[in-house]
Amino acid sequence: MKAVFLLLMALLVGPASAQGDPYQVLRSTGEGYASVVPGRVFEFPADHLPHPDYRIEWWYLTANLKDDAGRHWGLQWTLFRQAMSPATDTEGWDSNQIWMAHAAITTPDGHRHEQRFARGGVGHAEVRLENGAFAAWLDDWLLTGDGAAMLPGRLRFTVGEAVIDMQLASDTPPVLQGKSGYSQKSAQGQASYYYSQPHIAVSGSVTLDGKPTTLTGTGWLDREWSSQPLADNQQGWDWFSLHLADGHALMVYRLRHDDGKHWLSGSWVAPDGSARTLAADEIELTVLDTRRVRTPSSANPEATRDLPLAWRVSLPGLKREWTVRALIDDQWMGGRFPYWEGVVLVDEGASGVGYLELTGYGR
Amino acid sequence: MTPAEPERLGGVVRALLSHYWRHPWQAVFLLAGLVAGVALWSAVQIINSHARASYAEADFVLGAQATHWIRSRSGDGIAQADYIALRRAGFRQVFPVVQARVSTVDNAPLAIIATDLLALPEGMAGEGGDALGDADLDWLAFVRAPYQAWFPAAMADELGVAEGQQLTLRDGRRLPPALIAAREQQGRQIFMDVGAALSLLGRDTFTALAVGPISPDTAARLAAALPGDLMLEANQQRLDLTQLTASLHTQLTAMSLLSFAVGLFIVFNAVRFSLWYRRPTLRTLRLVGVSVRALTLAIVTETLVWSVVGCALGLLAGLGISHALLPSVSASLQNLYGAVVGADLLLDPVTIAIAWGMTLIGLAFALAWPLLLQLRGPVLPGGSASAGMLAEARARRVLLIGAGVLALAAVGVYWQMASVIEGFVLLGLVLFAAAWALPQALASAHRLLGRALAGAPLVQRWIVSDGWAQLPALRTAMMALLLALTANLGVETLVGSFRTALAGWLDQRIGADIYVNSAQLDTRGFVADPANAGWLATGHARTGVTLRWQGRPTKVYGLDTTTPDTRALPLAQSEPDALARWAGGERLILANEQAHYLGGLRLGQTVTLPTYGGATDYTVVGFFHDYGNPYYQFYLPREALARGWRDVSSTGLALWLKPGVSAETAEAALVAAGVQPGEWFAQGDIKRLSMRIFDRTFAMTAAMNTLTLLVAGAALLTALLAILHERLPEFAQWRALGVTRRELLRVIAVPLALFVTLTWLAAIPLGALLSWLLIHDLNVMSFGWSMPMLWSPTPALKLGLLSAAIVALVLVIVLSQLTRKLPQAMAQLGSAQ
Amino acid sequence: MLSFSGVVKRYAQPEGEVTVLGGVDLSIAAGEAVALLGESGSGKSTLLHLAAGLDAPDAGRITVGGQTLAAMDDRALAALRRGTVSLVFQQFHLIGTLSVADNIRFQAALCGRLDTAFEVELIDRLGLRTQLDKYPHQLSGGQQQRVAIARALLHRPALVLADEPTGNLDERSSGAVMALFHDLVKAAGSALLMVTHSREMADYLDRRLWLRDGRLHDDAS
Repeated sequence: MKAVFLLLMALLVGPASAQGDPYQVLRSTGEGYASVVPGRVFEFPADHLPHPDYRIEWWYLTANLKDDAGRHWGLQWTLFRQAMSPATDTEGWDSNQIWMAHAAITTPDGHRHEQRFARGGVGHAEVRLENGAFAAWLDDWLLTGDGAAMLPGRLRFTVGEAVIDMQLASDTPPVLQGKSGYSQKSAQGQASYYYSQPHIAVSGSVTLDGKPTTLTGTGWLDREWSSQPLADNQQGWDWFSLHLADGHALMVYRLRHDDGKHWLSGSWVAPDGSARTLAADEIELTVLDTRRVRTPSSANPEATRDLPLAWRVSLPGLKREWTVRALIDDQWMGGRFPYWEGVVLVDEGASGVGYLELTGYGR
Repeated sequence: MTPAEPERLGGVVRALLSHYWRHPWQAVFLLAGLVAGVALWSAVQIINSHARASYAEADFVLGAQATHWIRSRSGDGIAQADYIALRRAGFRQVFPVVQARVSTVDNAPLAIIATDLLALPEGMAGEGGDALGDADLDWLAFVRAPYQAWFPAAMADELGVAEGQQLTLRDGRRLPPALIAAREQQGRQIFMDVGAALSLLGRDTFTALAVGPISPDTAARLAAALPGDLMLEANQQRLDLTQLTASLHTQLTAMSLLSFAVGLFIVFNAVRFSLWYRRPTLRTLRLVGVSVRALTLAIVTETLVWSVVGCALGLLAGLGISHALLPSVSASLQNLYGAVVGADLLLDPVTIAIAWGMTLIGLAFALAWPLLLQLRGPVLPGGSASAGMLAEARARRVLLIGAGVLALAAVGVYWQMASVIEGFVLLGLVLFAAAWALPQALASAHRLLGRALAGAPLVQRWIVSDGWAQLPALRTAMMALLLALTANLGVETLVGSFRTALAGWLDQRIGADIYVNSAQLDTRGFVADPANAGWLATGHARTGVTLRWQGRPTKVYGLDTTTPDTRALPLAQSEPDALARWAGGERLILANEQAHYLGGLRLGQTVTLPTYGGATDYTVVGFFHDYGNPYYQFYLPREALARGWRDVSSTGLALWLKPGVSAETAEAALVAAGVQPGEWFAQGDIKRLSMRIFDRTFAMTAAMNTLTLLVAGAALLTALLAILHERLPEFAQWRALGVTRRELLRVIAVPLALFVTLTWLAAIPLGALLSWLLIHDLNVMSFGWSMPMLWSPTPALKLGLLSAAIVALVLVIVLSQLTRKLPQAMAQLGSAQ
Repeated sequence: MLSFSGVVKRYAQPEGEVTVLGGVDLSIAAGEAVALLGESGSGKSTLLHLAAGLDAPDAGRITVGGQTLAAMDDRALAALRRGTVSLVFQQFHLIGTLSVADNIRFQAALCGRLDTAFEVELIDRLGLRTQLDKYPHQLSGGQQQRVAIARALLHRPALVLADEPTGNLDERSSGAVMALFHDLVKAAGSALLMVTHSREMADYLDRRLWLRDGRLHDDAS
């Protein structure tokens, strides 16, 4: 479900953003596009490839890594696909597909990020099989599979001058989120198809200023596609993906509603990959601390925002509870469509690491 | 100065300025002169500085900086796969550009530029302020069928394109729906998405790839990563444009200075009149004991006031005029040099400062100096009519001597002249020498006429002799008229000669029936194909390479020496039997005139060109006319070009049809060979297109000419009104003597007509001299084009009629004033002054 | 020759309308010389302007040589002034671009009545013989006035209207010029109406009229 807002804002809200509520367009019915219904049977590796009949889709990778000195690093690499119209996808410049990519790296010295855009249909950005192997790219940002599956594979990209080259591998099956991959987003029936790979072994190097650093850690992949994922009264969300020290993985999120009755959901994944979906009443999220974060933009280089960067995450049914806190405050993705996404520590790192995404927080 | 003086100064200034209160139209004329002069000058300044600012952005493409270009050596364009490969290799500074020329249904040329907005470097960098942050831009509609075609407002006006309309091209294709909008550096081009352009043009390759700012290391890596047919070249457009357009801007500046001078003549006229009126005021002030010093200060204050007001209004008007003239200047720049000029005009402080300085100097001469001269004179008037006539004769003599000095200086400059600026100094000297000599010439001619009429009836002699009374007031107006007429005639002859030369040259050069420029076509194969033998008489497939010679972009063409156009190549200068020797010779080359006049090349000299095998020398045996081309160009036989350069590209195909073959047959064969509609032009179309471009290019010149003449007309009107008001009591007295209104009108009109006719007659040879200088010296120095001067009486006759119309109009105004004011003047006759 | 009957002329002034002539009756016979006296601003010049058709009365009738001025258009008035009525003003208004000879002949040339014998007489009696080829700006004020007088009389107009003709000259020369002027008017056979403020000048003439309070009176009483 991550970054639905971002994608739609990026791709649908052109000049309309000046005239009133930009979110309105997100709530359009998605008519003409394929719709998300329960009971779909997922097939791999075919489902790693695009589903162009649906309006939006993304490939979303985060990784929590450590260097030899035990310092925390983080990577984010995301490719978004958007269909501009319900027409059948065609090759060439007439293609109705548009691509956006975000990348970020959190180093012991700070955070840097970059965004890119591309037209579909001409090879500038694609997700497809190249010589039988999975490939997803925009310019030279490239995720390749050794075979038709995404994993094992290799992720290469740059953020500014930083050059990242990582090997990815996993020996557990994909986790189908929600009801067998049907992930409901509101009581009104908005939903997406959603699967994850929460247990990815990541290793490789980051070259910064000509100096390579070897890193290892765990990664998380989210795959999601939909045509109309949001309800009228949803303003933004808080999203956690945590790698726990005991080998479990936890994903929880809340979609914040105008009336304060937020939509909560999640999943609890065992080390062997077996998962159970968490219902709303099984999750409690409490803000522990709000921080004033610098969120500069080209329009206002001095802008700041108040963001909840410390949380208590409780699963009362499982009698588990953690404190989740941002590794550093400054992990703002200040691109054309800004949000906060960054490395978090669970119980100050003792119980695990993860990523937190916060969207929809105004200035 | 005593403490009371400042207060007194205020009083003196008020007393001096109150004159304009009582005679507001004098203030109007004074301002009219200042405003006309400053407005025309500043309009051109604004345009010039704007154009120069645009050149500074010449290495920007649609808002993105392009430090380098990637082009195809073969001229085939850039394959999309090559572009994608570069992007995937991490060269994100590279973005595609498609440029093309198409024509409208009525054959107006249209330039198209296209890119992929999403691929621009930093295009979508932040929230707002980037390529897609523009609030006007619905970029989703821009990149998506049916796409959008962006027309700058001025272009949309000219083409009559309304928002949402799909302009139909000559071959029936239709542009995407129009949006009246413009991006940076769009200029007079239609902007659209790259996908829209490729599908419109039926192409699958880009014209070029632009490269955003890159480090030298990256540039080296990029050059190494390019496939064989592609090359990376630094974008030198900014430098090239600045050099190429310098002459044009000098010409515009010269014309604007002329307008300023003509505007000053109006000021002289207005001031002359106000001086006459204010003589008593000055006298009274002196008599009541105001010191010369206080009066001087007051005069300086008055001058400052006028300079500020006149300059401010002039600059405002100039801004307006520059908006009106900009489209034609932009057209000139784009047609001649391919320079893209934006649409936002601004007044910069330097222009304001110079305008004010010039106004101040002009006023110092026209207003302050004569006033101060009057101050220096005796308190009580000893001045009599005889003193006035003597002063007038003396003034004419001084001007004549000045004219002689200027003429001598002109001769001196002529022998030394080497730059365009010196050329215009020469023109200025010639024009002003003529203008200063004019009063004495008019006086002499008038005296001769008086002698010739010695035996004529008294009334006739009286009417003619009144010219002596009018000449002092008409003097400056006649000088202004001479300048305007001469400039008009000179430029008319230049433009007419150029037009004729161009048309003749086009007739010779555009001899083939159809011209094809298609990347798809194998030109030599097409000509050789036996399937085409049925309709094709001859074909000329030209090849070419682009290189730099003397630091400028230069094209070397390979010609088929057997085709009719090559055999009849019109040469401006050549060695004996040049074409035959060139066709059969080794290392012989033809160069365009530009290489001769601007590049300093002479017949028999050698040109060193960088060929594949190293630098090679070619001997120049002839220079060909190459009108409208700002660049150097060389012709080699096609085989010689192929020997020297490996990566020659096809640069077009000329086809001669067999007699009786219809154009449709040829066009069908071209389409069958893969040529897209719009990639060929019929002979007539090319000629029409060229002449249309020519006419657009000189539209600015015509506009400036008309404005100058209008200013001269205004000078005439002020002069006559001054005469009317100074002499109203005299006219009333004549009426009392029984002079009829018709006789009175004759007294005013006949000498005026006489002077205007003499001035017009003087302007004819002067205009011819001016055009001779423009054609033989300035044009050659500016553009490197030579042409025969064609003098025709038509422009002179047209200007004569126009002048007569202006005189008639002025007389009607004067007569109506006279009719209105004479009764009162008659009723007041005999009463003390 | 000249008659006014019930002529009224008013002027708009800032203080209100001023009646300058409040019903003037006047009759001058052919060849008669009449002096018009009065205080400054009494309307003498106005009366003269009306007589020449340079201005129009608000009421009453003016005839010159039996023609009613009010009935004449601009062209007819011009013809009247060029042939029948001559004006001599304090300012001489000679034509600067013409020689003295041409200036003298100017009005005669306009109306096409040149009496060469009379021209010789005028030139000789006015002492202009040596000045003929000169231009007006080369003459003294007195000489210029003589030229103006010759110009006004050469074509023998039926009526001469003179407004302080010697006003710009010093007293001595003005006396001499005045006497000469009177003689020459007689010689030309013209009637004369001359505005003056000098009783001495007036005494040269046949009859004197005083203008007071907008009306004419026959004597100084």
